[in-house]
Amino acid sequence: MERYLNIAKVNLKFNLLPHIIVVLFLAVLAPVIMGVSNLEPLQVAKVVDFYLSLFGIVLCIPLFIPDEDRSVRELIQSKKESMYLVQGIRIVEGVILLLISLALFLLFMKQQRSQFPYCQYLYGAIANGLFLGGLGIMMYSILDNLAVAYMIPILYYVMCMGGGKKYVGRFYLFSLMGGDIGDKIYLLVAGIIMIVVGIIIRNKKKIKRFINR
Amino acid sequence: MFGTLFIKECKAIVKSTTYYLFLACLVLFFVGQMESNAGIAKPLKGQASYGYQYSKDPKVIMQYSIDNLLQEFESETYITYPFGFYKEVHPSKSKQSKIAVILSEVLDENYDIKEDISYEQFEAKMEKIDDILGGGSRYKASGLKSNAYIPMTYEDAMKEYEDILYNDKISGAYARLFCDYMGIVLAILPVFLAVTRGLRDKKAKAFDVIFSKKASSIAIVMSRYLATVSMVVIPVILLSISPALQSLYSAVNNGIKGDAFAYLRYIGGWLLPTIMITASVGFFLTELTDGPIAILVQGLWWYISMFMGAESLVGTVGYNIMPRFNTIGEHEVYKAILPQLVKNRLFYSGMGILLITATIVVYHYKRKGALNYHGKIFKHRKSELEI
Repeated sequence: MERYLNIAKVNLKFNLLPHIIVVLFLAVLAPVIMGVSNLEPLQVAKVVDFYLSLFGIVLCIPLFIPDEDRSVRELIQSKKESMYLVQGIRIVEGVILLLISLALFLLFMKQQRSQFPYCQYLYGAIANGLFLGGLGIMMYSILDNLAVAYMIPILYYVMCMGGGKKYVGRFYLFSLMGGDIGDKIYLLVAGIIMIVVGIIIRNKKKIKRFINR
Repeated sequence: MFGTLFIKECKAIVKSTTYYLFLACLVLFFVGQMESNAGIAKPLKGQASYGYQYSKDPKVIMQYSIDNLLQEFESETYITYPFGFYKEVHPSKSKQSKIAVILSEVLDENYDIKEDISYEQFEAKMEKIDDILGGGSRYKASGLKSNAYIPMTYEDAMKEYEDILYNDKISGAYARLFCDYMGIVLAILPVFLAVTRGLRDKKAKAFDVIFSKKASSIAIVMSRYLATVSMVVIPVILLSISPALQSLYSAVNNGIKGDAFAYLRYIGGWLLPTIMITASVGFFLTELTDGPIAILVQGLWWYISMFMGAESLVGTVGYNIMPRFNTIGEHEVYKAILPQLVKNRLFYSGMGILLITATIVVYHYKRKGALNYHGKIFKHRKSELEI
């Protein structure tokens, strides 16, 4: 257990820290650039859909950054803990941080006398965050290109903003703004699947490369 | 040396996945956003509607602004867009009474605007109200004119038509719309190419090999930068060919000669600075940190700029990285914002050059061993440096 905690600690300190700072910055910036107090449910939904979704991109995608370097990756592989476990700990950590940041942000909005169903909106925000994060993780593992890992979820977001509902159907990111929470389940499940698939592809590819050497 | 490197970089870009994604996005955005160029038609007398325009009559602007203000004052709720996001402001009692005082200075007892108030005085009063509300309201002096959106008369429509014909030669009016749309994606997409390039050396562990080569740091960094900028500009020019030809055709139909190089000029003056700054942010931050932070920084900047610009889509310039001009024509508005636009574009070109120069400096120091390339900047501080 102690070793697991150590993996988490090292990941927090050397990998996630700058990303946590970015999220903190986003959170502090929010009240300056948009209304957070005295909002009605649909206005809060806009903040959740448009703004809080971005937290997922920032906190989930760095999953593979520590072992981007091949020699580091091989070193980690040589350890007793499997790669799946190490990456599993990292993603759980990212998701917990995502959850905490979203929960606190929404709590802050509640305190500012905004009216909205807390749990439902938290769930919506997490679904969006995991979907965008999962999309990035999966792309990262398929293409092994960090820039593309950020590019695709950002473009997905932009596409939804540009009225892409007709193309993406149930995977539309901004459904909460339209007063519909039902479709978030698709985003949530797809997000989790993409994270899992991403981790599997990442490690399978490594095995393939190892054999082909 | 430089030429060889430049060609090599261009080839490397063409082979990268990021570039194909970039092209796909560019084309999709172009196809999705640019409506087909329907051409310009002379307005006919007796049409049901001639479209809408922002009034230029100070009296009308004042009246529309006051109507809106009175409504918001009564409901004690003011809608503002400080950064382009919707924000409802509920001012305190004391602020509300300050606004009441200003209102009483502007209105007579019948709630009509006092006769002796000039437009400049009115602007100053409204600006005060905007300050009280924390900015971004509809009473900001520069935004007052957008309160009065009124139907055009036949004469207005005729004037607009002649402006497009004789001042813009049709091409100019369409080129501005093209720049407006393409500016949105070009303020973000080049950063992905830059970061991909910056991280490639790290991933391939090519530092040591490249560092030891004869090529100067200037040649290495500039060849990468210019190759990226060129490979972004080329598809943009290619995309502009079809609307440019349509404009020329439309010009012929209206009995004038179009401006064949309008699109090229607008791309060079309007879009190139955006591409330059976006790419150089990518190169600089990636060289400095060896991480993807440039994407987050540029992404955030782009995000805020887009929402700030969304407040008014025609003629919003200031220091926004993407000046907006989401309309065909309005040559007068364009003339009015041109000095601002030139200042803005020069500023971003300058910033782009400055940042890429800074990138060269960082690269040079790294090459000399001053900045360790694993992201920890002063790791080798104990070593003796000869730079």
